[in-house]
Amino acid sequence: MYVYICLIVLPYIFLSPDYRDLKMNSSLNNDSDQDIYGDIEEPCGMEQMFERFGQFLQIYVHSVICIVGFIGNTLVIVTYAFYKRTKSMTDVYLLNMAIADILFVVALPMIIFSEQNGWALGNWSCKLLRGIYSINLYSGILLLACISLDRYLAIVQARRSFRFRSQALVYSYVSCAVVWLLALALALPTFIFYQRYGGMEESFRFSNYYDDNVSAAALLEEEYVCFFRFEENDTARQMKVLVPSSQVAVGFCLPLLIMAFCYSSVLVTLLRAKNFQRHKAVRVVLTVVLVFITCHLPYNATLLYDIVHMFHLKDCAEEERTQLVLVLTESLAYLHCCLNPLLYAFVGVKFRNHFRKILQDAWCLGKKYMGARHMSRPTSDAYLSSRRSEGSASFCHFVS
Amino acid sequence: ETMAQIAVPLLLVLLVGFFCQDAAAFRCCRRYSKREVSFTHIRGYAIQTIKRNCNIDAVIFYTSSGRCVCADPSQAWVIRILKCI
Repeated sequence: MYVYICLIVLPYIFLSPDYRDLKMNSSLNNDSDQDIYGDIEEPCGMEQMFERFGQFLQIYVHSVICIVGFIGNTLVIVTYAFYKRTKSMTDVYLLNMAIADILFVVALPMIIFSEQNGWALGNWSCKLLRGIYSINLYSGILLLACISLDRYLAIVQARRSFRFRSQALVYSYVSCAVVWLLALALALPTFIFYQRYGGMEESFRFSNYYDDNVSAAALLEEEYVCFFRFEENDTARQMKVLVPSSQVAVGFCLPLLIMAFCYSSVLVTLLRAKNFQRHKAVRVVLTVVLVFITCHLPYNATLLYDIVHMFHLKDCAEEERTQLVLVLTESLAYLHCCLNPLLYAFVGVKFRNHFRKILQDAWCLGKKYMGARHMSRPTSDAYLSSRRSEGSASFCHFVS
Repeated sequence: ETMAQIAVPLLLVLLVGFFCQDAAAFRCCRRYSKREVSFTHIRGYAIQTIKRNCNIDAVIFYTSSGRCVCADPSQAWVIRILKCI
């Protein structure tokens, strides 16, 4: 919680008016030709300070998110792969979600790395990484909606869904396939229109230009980006709006509506029931919905603001602020993929039991390995440790 | 063991990213300059369109002092200068 607050407060320190004025004044004083160009506008990107902040975020916050997300989701996959044989509808969704999250968490550092190296790996790495990123973004969120639907069917429509129990697994496979295909379809524009390119559309310099100060112009021509590139003005105008809007609509609003409907029905049913475990269930449902909203609402709201103001003329400072808020809220959204294993898998008692079994087996294997090493030196110490391990032999039997 | 096999390269990638901090932010014209630039100061130009990473169409003039000036491509003086070049 405190981390969130810090993340939200920090940029405001940089954005405070005093700091801005200070910076502007210093840059004006440095200008020798200020009187020639009174109110000129120069191309602008992120200011040094903001760029630093973005880098700090990418390196520290994102790497922590990636590592935690990787470990959490790997544990989920390992548990399902080795220890959970009877798979229910929910298990299929959770496994698919873990796969989507893990791909996302692997693609993210690769994207950050490529971005910092000007996409040196080429056009295909740009298309592929960005495409995979967007497929997994969509599939991860759509699977959350599937899980809410599954819980709705299991709890609210319990009687009706009981008849379909035998086919439930087939339904879950079909809906997962639909989710992945939909995610692929939504990521298609990214695959098609993303490209690695550098410099401006068309540029020309007088030959004696190189004798002069080249820094500003050189900056514009030597930077490589991985972004949309279109042939037509109209396609550009449409796709630049359509792609992020579909992200807000299908990647946030649709799942939010499904979750709101399903979980509110579930809550009503749970509150009516007289089950001693209902308080825990209510808490879990509320946490799941609240975490989804806290993680994704700020990013999607900022994205929507950005879409609405996309083709307007903007102040550099204003644009910078929007970009910074976008980067910040985006990392909050990324955080969701490392919370998913906790919120969905580890919250279940059955899953935790399977996971405990894994830990025990791993511990036993380690013990066996260490034991084999100790055998070579028959000291009283080794004797003691072997005596101690006898107690744990009860659950270590099948390893040997 | 498999965990370590995947986690170590991942960590390496992150570390390499840490030492190669050469971020490429999108540099674009976001507004147009209000004042005209005289032809004698111009040393070159570039064209920015919405077909790429920027969201407004603009002409960027490189000046003799090494600066870039964003100009509105629909304005008469900009078209005149482009024709001259």
